[in-house]
Amino acid sequence: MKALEIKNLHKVYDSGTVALAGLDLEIEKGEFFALLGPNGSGKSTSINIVTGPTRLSSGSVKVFGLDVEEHRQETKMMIGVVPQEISFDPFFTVNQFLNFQSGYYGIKNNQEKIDEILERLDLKDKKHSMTRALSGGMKRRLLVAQALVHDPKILILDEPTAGVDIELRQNLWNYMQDLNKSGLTILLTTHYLEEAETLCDRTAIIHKGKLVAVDKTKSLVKSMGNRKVLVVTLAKKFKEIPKELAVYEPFQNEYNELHLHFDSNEVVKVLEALTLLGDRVVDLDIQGQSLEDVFLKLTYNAK
Amino acid sequence: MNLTGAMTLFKRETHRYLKVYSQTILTPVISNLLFLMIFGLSIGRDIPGSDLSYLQFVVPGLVMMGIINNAYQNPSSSIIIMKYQGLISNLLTIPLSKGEILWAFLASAVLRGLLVGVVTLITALFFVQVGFYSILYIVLASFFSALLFSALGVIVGVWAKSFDQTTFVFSFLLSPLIFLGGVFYPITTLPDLFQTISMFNPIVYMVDLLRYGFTGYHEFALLLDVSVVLGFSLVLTAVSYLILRTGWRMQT
Repeated sequence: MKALEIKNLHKVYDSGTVALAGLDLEIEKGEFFALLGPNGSGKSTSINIVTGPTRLSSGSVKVFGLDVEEHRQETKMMIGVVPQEISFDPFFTVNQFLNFQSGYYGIKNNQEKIDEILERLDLKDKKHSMTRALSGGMKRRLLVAQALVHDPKILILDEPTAGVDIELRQNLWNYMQDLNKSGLTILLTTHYLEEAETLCDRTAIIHKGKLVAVDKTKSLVKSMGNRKVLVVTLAKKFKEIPKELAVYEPFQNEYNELHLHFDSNEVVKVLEALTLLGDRVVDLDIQGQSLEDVFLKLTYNAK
Repeated sequence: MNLTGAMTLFKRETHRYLKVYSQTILTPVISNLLFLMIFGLSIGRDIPGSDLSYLQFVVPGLVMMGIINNAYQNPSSSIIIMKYQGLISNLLTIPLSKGEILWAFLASAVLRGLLVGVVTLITALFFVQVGFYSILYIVLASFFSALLFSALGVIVGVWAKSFDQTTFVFSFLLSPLIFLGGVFYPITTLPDLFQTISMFNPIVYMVDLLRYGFTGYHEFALLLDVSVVLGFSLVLTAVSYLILRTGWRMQT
């Protein structure tokens, strides 16, 4: 039995917008799975269909073998979701809020579990604070707590790291990895390829409401090649970029930055080429290719 | 069936207004008391064709007004706040059926309406002698009127895209109907034309029925009163259920 099985899923909104155009996706039990896609690719729509706020136009979605249309309440019981938008019941304290959330899932006395989750998410001292008084990062973690109080079988994280600082992000990912090891299936949607790379066994890429690629994350990243960008901050802009750099597809922007593109195994070569620039170099930075580059490449190949 | 879940949503909805009780329970009582003073002191005369003083006449009307206002306001403002706060998606994600969600909204709104009604009555008892002619009719009239306006509150809350729209319905539809609904004067003392117009206002029959429950005085046939109250409350409850089921303005 699959944890999640999406077949030929279509969604056309009332406005006429086609959000999903025959999406197929399967997630195994116990997987840490990444769903990547640019804005408007249909990530949130698919998640909202799985969790409830959005209705499907055609196709089918099964959660642990149960069809979401026919067994709405049973499937909802198995899903925990960390939504993209931060939204809370503003009338209650953190503890009241989580107790209500447990109650919605039919759990009457859940204090022990709630305390354990609060401890793990560093929210213990905020237990009796009003939810609206929390900082952005804390709110985000409270959303994670909210998704876990009823011990779901599959956890869906919809771009959960926005606004969470690096240390806490690491803490959050460690927690997610522990939960995954103890058997929880996790579906993560993200913009960041790096997140998928460090966390997820398999990754699917969707674009324009369709599956473009799905594979082991490592193979997927490898197959895309590993292009990097060297960003060189210059003291003074070039009127003409030296011809020797032409192989790196150079590009200057208005911030006096020169972008050089290279494969990661050419790093020494590209650094050597910098000697040409001499005193002009003020600063250096190496950046990974953006997800957009990857999509461009994949969707181009798919044609 | 997720009884604990539905009960939790009911508690959440109830907790929400009890937490700010001075605003949700006491304020309406104060305004009702002001009405009592203003009209009671200025219009001292008895009601023609009855042995009721004006105050005895007006108290059931004020109780009904409190019930209607609060039963309507609870779900309409709760749902619109949920829309503003982005909580609708959580409401649609938790494992509650539409029927359970509706039950929770209606139950807490009916309770709020009745609470305000009871508190209004208790405060009025300090100033007026109020009888309890028929407990059955008091319960029947208050419960079903509260249900009717709770269901209306749900419908308007789901329909509305902003607070303005819920208050629009309240100020331009509900308030006139209440004020012209026989709360403050007997319909039969109006000129013929206005009597006829009033016959189309369902609130007239609710007030009449509740007034009968307290005082034994009524202007219309009880069967008509009961039919209107039951009929409207059942129809609106059914409508509110149907719009929740279709996911209109909630599910995308």
